[in-house]
Amino acid sequence: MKNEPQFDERYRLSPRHVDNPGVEKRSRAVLHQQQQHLDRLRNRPRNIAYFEHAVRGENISDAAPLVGYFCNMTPPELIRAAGGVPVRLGCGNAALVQTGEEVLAGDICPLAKASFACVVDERSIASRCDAFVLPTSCDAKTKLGEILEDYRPTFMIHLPPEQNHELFLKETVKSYQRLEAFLGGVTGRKVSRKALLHAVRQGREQAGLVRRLQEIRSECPGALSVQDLFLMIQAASSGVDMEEWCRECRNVITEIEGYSPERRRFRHRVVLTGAPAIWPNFKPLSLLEECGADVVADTLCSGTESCYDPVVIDETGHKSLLRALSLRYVFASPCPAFISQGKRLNRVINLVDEFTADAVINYSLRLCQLFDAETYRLSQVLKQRQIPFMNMRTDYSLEDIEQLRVRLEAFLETLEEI
Amino acid sequence: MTLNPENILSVLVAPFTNPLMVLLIVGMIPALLRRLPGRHAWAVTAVFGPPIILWGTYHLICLNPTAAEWLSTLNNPIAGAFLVIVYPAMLIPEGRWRQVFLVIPVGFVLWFFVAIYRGYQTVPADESGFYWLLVSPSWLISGVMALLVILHEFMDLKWFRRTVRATCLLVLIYGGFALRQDFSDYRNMLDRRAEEKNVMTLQETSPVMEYPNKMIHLPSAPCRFSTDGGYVQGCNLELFQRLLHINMFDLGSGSLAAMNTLSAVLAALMIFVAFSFISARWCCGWLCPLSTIGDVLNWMRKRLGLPAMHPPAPVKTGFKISGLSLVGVTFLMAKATPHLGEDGRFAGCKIPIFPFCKVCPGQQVCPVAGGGLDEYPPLPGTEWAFGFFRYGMLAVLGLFVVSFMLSKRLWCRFCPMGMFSGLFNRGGMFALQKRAQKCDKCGVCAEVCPMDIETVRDEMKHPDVSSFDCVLCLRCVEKCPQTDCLRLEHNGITVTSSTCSPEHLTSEK
Ligand code: SF4
Ligand code: SF4
Ligand code: SF4
Repeated sequence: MKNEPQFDERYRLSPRHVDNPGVEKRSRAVLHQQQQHLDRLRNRPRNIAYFEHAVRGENISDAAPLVGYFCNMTPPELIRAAGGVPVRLGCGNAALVQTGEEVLAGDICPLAKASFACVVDERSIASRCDAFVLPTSCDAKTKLGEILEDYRPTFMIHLPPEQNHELFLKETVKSYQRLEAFLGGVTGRKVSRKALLHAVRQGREQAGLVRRLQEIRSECPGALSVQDLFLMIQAASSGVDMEEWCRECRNVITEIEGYSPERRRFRHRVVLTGAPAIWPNFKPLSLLEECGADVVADTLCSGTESCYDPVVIDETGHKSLLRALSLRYVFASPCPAFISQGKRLNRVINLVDEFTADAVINYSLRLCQLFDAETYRLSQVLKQRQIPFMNMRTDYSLEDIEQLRVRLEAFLETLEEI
Repeated sequence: MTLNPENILSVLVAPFTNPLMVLLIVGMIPALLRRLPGRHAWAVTAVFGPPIILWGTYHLICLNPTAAEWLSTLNNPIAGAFLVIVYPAMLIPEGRWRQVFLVIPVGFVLWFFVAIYRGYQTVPADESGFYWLLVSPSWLISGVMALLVILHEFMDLKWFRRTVRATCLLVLIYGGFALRQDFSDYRNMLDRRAEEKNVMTLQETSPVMEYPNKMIHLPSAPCRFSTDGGYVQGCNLELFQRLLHINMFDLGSGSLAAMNTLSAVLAALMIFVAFSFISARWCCGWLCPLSTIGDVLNWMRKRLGLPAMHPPAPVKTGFKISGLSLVGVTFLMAKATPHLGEDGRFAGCKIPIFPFCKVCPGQQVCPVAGGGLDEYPPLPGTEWAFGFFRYGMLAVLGLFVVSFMLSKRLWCRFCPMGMFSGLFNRGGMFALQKRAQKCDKCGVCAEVCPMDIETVRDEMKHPDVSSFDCVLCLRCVEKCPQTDCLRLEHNGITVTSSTCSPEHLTSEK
């Protein structure tokens, strides 16, 4: 398939790089601070250092082209099948937000700004990528594509507005086919059926491992901190070798399977939903843990949502595999990019049930209108079902942390009364 | 069996004392209660009604030897084996009791081998050799069912389905010569095989279950169209055609022959409806040799890596309407059977006795599957009803092959045999259930569904997601990525449910 160019060549700008020692220094401080947070965690898996190195981008193999991508609607399987190494670009560094602001508008969400800053920063992994792929999942992403195109070849995945299989499935498959052609151009390798099947199988294995982790954590949340869980999951999309990741993950599973808590745990079990918490912004996670709640399940696209559900292989033809990817990544997605909120509500309610949670916390990232707009229905629906709910509206900055802590503690106290 | 018109009433009530009917009635209670409002009133009727009716009819029938005799024709090995082996296996949950229960099927399997050994004892010493399995139908059926129940313990849904389908294919297609009661029966079969076949005048379209005076029609199982005789009777359409063959004028004038036919057909119909109520369209998904053969064609498409065609709704409806129209036309012809002249003509047209069977692709496909291309039966001549049967046959056979090659089971939208069982998909004992709370509408169920059913994905209010076209193949249950989201219930008890466990996912490679 011939790919029509997505952007107008004539108005391309030359890439602009920023070198701001102040931001640089602060961003290192943020990383350091987060690392300290993690170090304070008790009872971490022995091989957690592997995952820590991975999220910092230290385990990337240089052999294959790196393809940076945003969002859960971009199937990493496709990138792997094309011989590329998928690197998820979302960045949660509070300090980098400022750099992004200089090119993007001020009123764009911190995630887009920080992630863009990574691209601009020549030392980051993002700037080592050979191509970018992002879906049109929100206004910021939609406009980011053209800006990124100035730096590297970029492909925008066109998402349907509605998760209506009948109307849009073929269209989504076409988008993925275009993506395949684009990736082929980047890596110089066509996506073969076999490679795709292999990548999908690998993804299923990852899903199985994450499901197992969640099973253990549901039984005994003390076995693995949610921060470490997120670290592990995000490490998987930081350009590591999947086989190696699976091996390390298996080690963690064997280790925590043997974990038995010293005493019964009386901490609250909560389900976390809302905007992505991406390394090094584990603020909502660490806050919740410090306040005495265990995040037993989440719908965060940077958390278990990204790999909890497997791609279902039925037929193994090339097109069938693409359909399977579309079903998994677009049509089952609880992302607010789509017009109905039903999937997310359904998921949240089910997780509360399945993981016997006491409450739901919504992490709503300031300046993300989509998540903001969903908060009302979420709170009302949960209220109808008498599930305690708290909205945590914040951004990357660490300034409001004490204020949030007070609110959270008060909320968790009300749970005790029930 | 003697029967006179006065007995017709007792003939009609007789089936209600059959053990199968007891199961049917008892099974109907929860099925009805689940569907009808006004539960209390129903509960009272349902709990007290059937025993009273049964008791009353039992005594009525004991007074009437004719009816009692007819009653005996209703008993059949399939019902017995189902009640003793399969039904408990479906209902007893995993655990110790299940292991205890497994002793029964193991016993049946052992006896199955003993029965074969005894069958070989009937072979005269000077002719000893290999004659496949010499075993009576009862032992064959219970042995096979027991074997499958045991195998089920060691298999996942996918492999179990494949095993069941392969077994059913073997029994139904190859059973004709490989499974004989005893040595003399084997000899008879060879003799029958030697006769020249003429499809159009073949009276017995289907092999005879070797029970005197008994017909057993399984839902969604076509006959073998082979002269050697096997263990399975024809499909439900054959049964309906038999009903149409009865000359109503003869019946009115009290002809004994017509009465006998009617009673035999009614008995078969009773059993058949009971089977359909119990199994709905399950037989389509697991047993039907036509679709198993079609799946081989489908497998070829998959191997080529071609995506399955998902035909739009009008095409599917068109298939359904054409299937039903074909039934309409051929049944009208069957109605003419009693009025055929000496030369086999009605109003100048040559018409076969079982007109539907003559255009059924099963007639061509099953013999070929069983005996290779040599067995391909001759096509009807063009003089038969102006070539209706020759060209109709070719068209339907082409439809069969093409629709299985291009899409997964488009054919099954056409097949009237399956459609009848579909009537019991909602309201029968099987029900496909969904917990909408677990479903994220990923659409996997619709994607893997060979019948292209979207109800399972889209129905978010009502837990019952069974639909008319569903063949209960359980692919959706097998593939749904959410544990416990979909499940199959039989009479309110969960038989199987979707699982997507970590072990399952990580052990794939
Ligand atoms: S609908 Fe399909 S599976 Fe069912 S009886 Fe007909 S051919 Fe067989
Ligand atoms: S496969 Fe399961 S989760 Fe997906 S739409 Fe069907 S029932 Fe729902
Ligand atoms: S709905 Fe499920 S059980 Fe029914 S035919 Fe489709 S896949 Fe098979």
